[in-house]
Amino acid sequence: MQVSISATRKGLTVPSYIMLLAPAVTFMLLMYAYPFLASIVRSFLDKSGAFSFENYLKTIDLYTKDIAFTFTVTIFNTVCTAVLAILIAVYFRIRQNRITTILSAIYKLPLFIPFVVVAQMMNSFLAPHGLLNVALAQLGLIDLKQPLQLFNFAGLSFGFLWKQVPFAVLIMHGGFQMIDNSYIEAARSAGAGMGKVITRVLIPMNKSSILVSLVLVYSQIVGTFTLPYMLIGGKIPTTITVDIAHRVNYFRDFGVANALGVFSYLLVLLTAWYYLKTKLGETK
Amino acid sequence: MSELRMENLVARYGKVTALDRLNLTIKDGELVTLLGPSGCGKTTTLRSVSGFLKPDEGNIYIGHRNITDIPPEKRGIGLVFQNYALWPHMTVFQNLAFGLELRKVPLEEIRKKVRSVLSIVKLEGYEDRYPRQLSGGQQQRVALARAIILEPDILLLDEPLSNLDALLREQMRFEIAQIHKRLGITTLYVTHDQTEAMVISDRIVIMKDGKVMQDGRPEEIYLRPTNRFVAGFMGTTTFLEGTVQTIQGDSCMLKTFEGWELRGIACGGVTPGTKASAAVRPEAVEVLYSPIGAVSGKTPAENSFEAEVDSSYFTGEVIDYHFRLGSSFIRVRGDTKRILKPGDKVTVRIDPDRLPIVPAESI
Amino acid sequence: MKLNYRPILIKTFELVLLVLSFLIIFGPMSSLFLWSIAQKWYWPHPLPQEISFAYWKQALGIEKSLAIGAVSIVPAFFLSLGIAIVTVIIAMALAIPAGYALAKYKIPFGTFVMFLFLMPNAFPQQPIFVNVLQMFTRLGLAGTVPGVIIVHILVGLVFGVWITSATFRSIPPSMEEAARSVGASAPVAFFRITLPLAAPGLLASSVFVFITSLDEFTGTFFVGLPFVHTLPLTLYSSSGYNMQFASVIALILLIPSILFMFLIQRVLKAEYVGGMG
Repeated sequence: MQVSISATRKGLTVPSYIMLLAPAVTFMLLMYAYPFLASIVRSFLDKSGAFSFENYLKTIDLYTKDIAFTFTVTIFNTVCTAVLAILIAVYFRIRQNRITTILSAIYKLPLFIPFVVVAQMMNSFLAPHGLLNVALAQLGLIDLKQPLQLFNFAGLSFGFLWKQVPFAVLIMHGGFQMIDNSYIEAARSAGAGMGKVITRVLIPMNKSSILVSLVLVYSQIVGTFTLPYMLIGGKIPTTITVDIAHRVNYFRDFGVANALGVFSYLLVLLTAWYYLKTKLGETK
Repeated sequence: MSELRMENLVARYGKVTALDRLNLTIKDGELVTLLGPSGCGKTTTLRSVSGFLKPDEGNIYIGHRNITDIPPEKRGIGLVFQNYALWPHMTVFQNLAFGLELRKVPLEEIRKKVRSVLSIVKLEGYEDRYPRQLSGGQQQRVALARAIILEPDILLLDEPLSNLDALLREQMRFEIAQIHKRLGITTLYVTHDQTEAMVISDRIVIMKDGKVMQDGRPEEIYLRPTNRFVAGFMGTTTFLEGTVQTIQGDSCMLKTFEGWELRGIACGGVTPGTKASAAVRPEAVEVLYSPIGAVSGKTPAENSFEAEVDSSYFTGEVIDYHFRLGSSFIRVRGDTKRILKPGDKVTVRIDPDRLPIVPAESI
Repeated sequence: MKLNYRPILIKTFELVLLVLSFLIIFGPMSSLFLWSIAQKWYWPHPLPQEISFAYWKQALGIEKSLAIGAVSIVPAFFLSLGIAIVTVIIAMALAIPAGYALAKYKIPFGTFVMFLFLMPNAFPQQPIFVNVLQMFTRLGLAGTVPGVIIVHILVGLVFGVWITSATFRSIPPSMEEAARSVGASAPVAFFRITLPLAAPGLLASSVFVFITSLDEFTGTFFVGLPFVHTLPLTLYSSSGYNMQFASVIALILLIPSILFMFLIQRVLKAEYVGGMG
């Protein structure tokens, strides 16, 4: 008797969270999950819709250099971001004076500037006759007849670092602020110099926010389209994202575009796994 | 009549059974405390009554009304939360008026009621403050006022004093007891603090693993525990184990493993020949500051034993001792007039009228 | 007596760092500014030879002159604004219930839902847009404003859901339960208690979605071209041939973002901000 009552009790309650989640989840399934799966499936289909590796053969034939370039740019900038951001965040943590106050007020600026504006900014700033070259020439550092050519790996990296270092600093800074002074004082009283405090206490204690920020920086650089598109465009070598745009816009070749997309997924596989693992762990 | 009755309540979280066929009745106007360690099911009981948790089985009645499937807002139950749950975007007045407003009570009457309820909790004139402008104790009073302003049939309090500091907690205990006396609302009170439960309750229900371990008046629970769990949970209890020798009426003779005879009160249906535990509370132990041999010419008195001081802790009011009694330890309080050192030999006498003897097997 | 040089060295180093930071952060920005007011700027001149606000006036629709080749950005601005407003309304209508459910209920398939909302941060989004374009071409949504709005919702929704659910999670469940206990039904408790308490977080989330839509480029580029010219796309299409005009648009796009920075810094977790642009 009791058992049957309890059965109907549970059966009668329609969980309201289903109603609440349904619209957003449906949207995400249609507009995100479906295209995501489609991008993988379609990369294995030829023009007639049959299974083939044609797209991958073509991709490897045409774009191996660009894939390598994308990977190099990403690794290089992630490593540079790591070094610069850790230095700056640690500096903010251990020094508090007027200079750090000013710096910590302005460093966030690039973070809020959209990539399309950053791209335009770099486009004019780094141009052969742009402000940077002109200024360097004024200082006598270069000859304007042979200006620095920056619409390549160097300029792209400058743009990425300009935008990503502040982002990484912001996350790391938050983590460093959470470390109580007593840990530093304890290490110092145990005889550690400032260098040892940084390498043995501050950085290890802030490991998770350092890793998460770098993981996000890494996957963002792989996926950024605007900056390389407006800075390098179709020149060789360029990034995967630019190639995808060209494949779609000029050739309407979705097969190779998707194969390139899969390569960009592969580039972030490790970082995506780490990100999802930590984030899902946090919410539990 | 607003009697609260729970019949055969069962609540499961996955494989864990939080309530295991709980039966409990709180008579009209009574204040009953649910007491137990965390995870014993007391909060689950409270949430079942308030309606935020649907029990898997069983029914809950207020008077003759079955409220098991009624939504929380229609149960006529006032709630006081551990974290007060005052709405920070509303003033004290708005917090108190909210429920009346929903019932479309005219503003004049709301004003009157808010004023009268604030006087009950001694917060006259605080209508326009925001919760953040109040101290913890004041917030607690507002929370209480909000729960009683609708004149509920039942009042539920979920560890209402646990966020207050010790002094304020003590004061609020008495105030809650007084307000309850004055209003006479049927009240279910959840706490893990035994002193709090003792002070305010008409009846205490001790819970463990979703079951009622004992249900009785505070002094009953303390002096006549029916099982080892309750005996150990109440007071500062140390146990002496043995076998029941004889029972005469209330009185019980226990033979400890050392062969000592210990007289106490038979509780929880102990029978001769079974293993039992004597629950020694410090206040029942008298310290005779000399070894047994010194009381010359007399046979040792009943329930008197030689003990050795193992360690002592000065607490200010008293001294907390751990005495070695054969192979066992007991906790004893001594006054600060004479301080014993570890290794000192003393005689202790355990008052048989304050020594409950309960079945040894823990439930 | 020995002089201690270390503090002086450190101070000098810090000052150099400060100057360098200023140059690096504001150098590229000043280049934009200079170009936006340069009437004539031929190299190797370090600064524009002739300064005027002609391009600003032209862009803002105050003046019309064919000579400098720029057009008014007013239509693009209003298009972007309209798209952003509609995006915010729809995205928040989806995000608020979802964020609430994620915060308040133990959902049996919760991990899957979380996973779905985390994926876009973990993987590049461009292939998504490519396949959405294919889908939209079939549905006749490619190159239309509704198509662009859908893509903007996609980009904004993820952040919307995360920020709203974090907001709701920060409100103790007892707030709503207290309201229920004094007679409020579940919807009344939500609208009278939870919603006002969540308002700052929901507002922050809305502004965030708004700015994301205003700045969105990649999705619009794939799905909206060649017919939908939002502000970022107008910037892109002019950047090749008209440096001054592109700089004006870039500066205009910069304004809401900077305002947003001052408005939002304290409310938001660092991670969300990174998802912008």
